[in-house]
Amino acid sequence: MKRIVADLHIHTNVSPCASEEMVPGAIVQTALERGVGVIAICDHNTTGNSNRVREAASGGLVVLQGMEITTCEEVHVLGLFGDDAQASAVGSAVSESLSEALGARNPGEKEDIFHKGGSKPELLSSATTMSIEESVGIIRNNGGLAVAAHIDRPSFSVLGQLGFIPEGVKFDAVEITGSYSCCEELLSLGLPVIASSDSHSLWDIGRMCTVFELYAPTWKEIVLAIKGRGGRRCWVA
Amino acid sequence: MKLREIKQRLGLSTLSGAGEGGLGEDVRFGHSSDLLSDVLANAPAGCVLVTIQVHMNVIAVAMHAGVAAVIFSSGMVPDEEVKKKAAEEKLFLFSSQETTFTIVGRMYELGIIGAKR
Repeated sequence: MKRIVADLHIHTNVSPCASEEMVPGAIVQTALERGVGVIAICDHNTTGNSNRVREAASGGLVVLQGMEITTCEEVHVLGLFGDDAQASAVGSAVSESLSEALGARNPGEKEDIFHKGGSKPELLSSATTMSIEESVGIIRNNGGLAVAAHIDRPSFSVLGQLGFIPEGVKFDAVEITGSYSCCEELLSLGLPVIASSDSHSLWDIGRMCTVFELYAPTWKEIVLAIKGRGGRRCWVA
Repeated sequence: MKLREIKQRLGLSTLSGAGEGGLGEDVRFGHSSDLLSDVLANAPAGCVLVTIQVHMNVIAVAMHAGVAAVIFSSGMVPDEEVKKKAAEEKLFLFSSQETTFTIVGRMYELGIIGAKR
């Protein structure tokens, strides 16, 4: 088996809160310099930019498609995908939901107000109309992994917003981004724990990572390692 | 103050509840938050909660915290499933077109106060 370092939560400059320097080439170069072998691009409510990062990587770095959905409870849920078509399907559904939410709050606004180049790209990270349960459901129904984002942070995390994980919501893992000190408490949730940087600037990339022990750095192997199948495993480091 | 009087004075629309008899409940305290973890930790039992959050978990948290009634501000209205759940729990849900700030201010004028849990 091989060990590979993964940082599965990185924003590009499409996210309104990310630094302008977060362009595909710079993200790939920084990740490789820091010994990261797998990254996932998780912009707010869109999968739109992950292909560009993958093109920039040209095979030197494994780039997964992902997305950070803002649910109606203002909880961030990560979706990680192994299949581009499925990622796009979820991306479209989330985009529609965001249009609906923004339309309801800003009657009279055009549908595309939040897209880059639209009049209000800063609204891309706003809450959609999708609940936590719906978000996790649509991610998993499309073959993705649903991760409770930065569960150690008071803002925009499921524990910060609600104080508990609602019954019937089946996360595949929880993510920490702040420090490793809370890992032990999180074990009581009975879910795999991953660590990521939640990078909004180049400085962040690889700041917190997950180490995977698997046979090859592929999507299928990563899923099996998160689930702890066949001797594969992952841990935060 | 009776829930009935708060409803009348603030012009609230009733979305669900425990019927006319339940409106006779006395309320002394109010709480406002859109963070349910804060409601769980800090809302005093028997209070009226003012929030813009309208999803299903609001009902679960309100029941757990012993909230007497929830007022959804800024014209926010939950979907039918949420209203149904609240009706089962005999939890009063009201809606108002006013913002949270205005609703809280008007309740304070009526003598409803904040308190630590």
